[in-house]
Amino acid sequence: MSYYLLLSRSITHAQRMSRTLERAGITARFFRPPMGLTDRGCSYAVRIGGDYLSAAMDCLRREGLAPMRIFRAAGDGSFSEITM
Amino acid sequence: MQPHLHWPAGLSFYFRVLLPICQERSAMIYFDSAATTLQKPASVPAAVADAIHTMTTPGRGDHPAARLAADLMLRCRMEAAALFDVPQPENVILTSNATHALNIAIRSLVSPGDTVAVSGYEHNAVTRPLRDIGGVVCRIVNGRLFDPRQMAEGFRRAVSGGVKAAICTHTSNVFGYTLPIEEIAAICREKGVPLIVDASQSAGIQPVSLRRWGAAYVAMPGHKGLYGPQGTGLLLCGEGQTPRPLLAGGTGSLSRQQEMPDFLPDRLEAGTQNVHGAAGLLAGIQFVRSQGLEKIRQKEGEVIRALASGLEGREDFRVFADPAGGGSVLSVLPLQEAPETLADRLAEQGVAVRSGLHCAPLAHRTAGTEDTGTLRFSASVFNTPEEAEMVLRIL
Repeated sequence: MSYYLLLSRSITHAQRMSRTLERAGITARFFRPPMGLTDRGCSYAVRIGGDYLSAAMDCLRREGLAPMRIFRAAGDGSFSEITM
Repeated sequence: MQPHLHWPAGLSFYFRVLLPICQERSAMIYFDSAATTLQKPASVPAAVADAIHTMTTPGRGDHPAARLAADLMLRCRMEAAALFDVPQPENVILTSNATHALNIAIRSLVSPGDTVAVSGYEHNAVTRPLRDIGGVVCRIVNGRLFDPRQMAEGFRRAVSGGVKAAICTHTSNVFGYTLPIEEIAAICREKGVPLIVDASQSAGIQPVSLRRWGAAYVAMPGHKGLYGPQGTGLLLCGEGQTPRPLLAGGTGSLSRQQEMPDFLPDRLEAGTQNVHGAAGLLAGIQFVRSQGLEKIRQKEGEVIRALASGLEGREDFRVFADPAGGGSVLSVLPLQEAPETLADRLAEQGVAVRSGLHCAPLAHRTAGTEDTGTLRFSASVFNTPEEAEMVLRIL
C-alpha cells in the first residue's frame, strides 16, 4: 500500500500537521521517519494514505503548515522525494 | 513496584506531619500571591502527579510516554496561545520562570553599548540583565504612581532615535500600578522600536495580547497568576524575531547540525524540558480561562479595595492605592514600625505578606520608598473580603 511522508521541521510542527489533517478527516500519524530521509539528523514526519496527498497539502497550506519535504513510499520499502 | 509505605508508618506520617501542615495551611491568610500563589486549583497538583507517573520527554523516544508528553506540551502552548493571543503555538516558549524568559528577550535585542528605554517600575529581572550585558545606556521613564498619561508621554519622549528596545512592566509588582501598555506599545510600533513586556504580575489577571501589542517579546512566570508550579514560565515571541538561545544543547531535532535550530520552539528549548511542570501550568491556565479574567480581577480587586479602604485615613499608615480602584496588589508603609517588623508580627498571627524592596529597587526609587521599602499585600482569586477584614482587625 502506498503512502506519503510529510517531513516536518520539529515535533511541534508535526503535531500541528497531524492534528490539522485529522480534523479534516485525513488519517495522519506523526512519528520518527527513517534517518536516511533527513540530511540534518533527527526529524519528525506525518504519514498519510496514498490517495490523500492533494487534499492534505491544500489543507496544510491553508493553515500555514506546509511540510519541509514530501516522500512517496513504494511497495518495496523505498522512498522517493516528490515536489509539489 | 509500589513505595514501601506500611500502613502504621503511613498513618503516623499523616497525623504527625501532613495533617498539621494542612491545618496550618488552611488557617493561614495568604496575601503573598504576587511572589507565588500558594493556593492552587486542585487540578494543578493532580496534573503534575499524573504527568510524573505517565510522561517522559517529547522529541526523544517515540513511545507512548514520550507521545503523551509531546501532546501535553503542545496543549500547554495552545492554551497559552489562546489566552495571550499568540498567532502560532510554536511562538510560546516554555521557560523556567519569567527571569529566564526576560533574559532571553533582553539578550536577543540588546548588545553592549546600546540604548534602551525602560519604565521606572522595572524589577531586577529586567535591570540586572541590562547591567550584566555591560555599557547599556538606560533611559528611565519616571512617572508618578498611578499616572498612566504621564508614563505614556515619558515613553513617547524616550523612545526616539538610537533606542534599540523599550522594556516595560505591565503591572508593577510593588504597587500594583498597571502601566498604559496599549499606548506604550502603539508608540513603539509607530517608531519601529521592539517592545519587551514583563507580564509577571498581569498574566492571568489582565488581558495580555502579543498580537495586538505587536510586542517583540512578552515574558511571564507560571507560578503566580497562572496558578502553575514553581519552575515554570513562558516567553511569547513576536513574529519575525530571531531570539538568541541562552542554552545550547539537544532538542531532538536536526541532530547532525551543531548550530541550534533556527525555528521555534526548539531554538530556545535545549535539554530535557519540565514536562511535569508544564502539566501543572496547563491545568492552571485552563483554570484561569474557565474563571475568566474579568471575574478574577473583580474578586481580587474587591479584596484589595477592602484592605485599602480600611487603612486609608489612618495616621499610622501611608497607603499606595490606585485611585481607579481594583488591582491585585496593595503596598503600604507603616509609619510607627518597620515594614519587616509588621510583616513578622502578621506572620505570627497567620497572615503571609511580603516586606522590603520586592526585588524592584528602581520602582521604590521612582515612588520615593527606596529607604524603607513597603509592606505588600497581594491577592489571588482564592482570597476573600472576610480575610481582608480579619487582617484589618489585626492591624
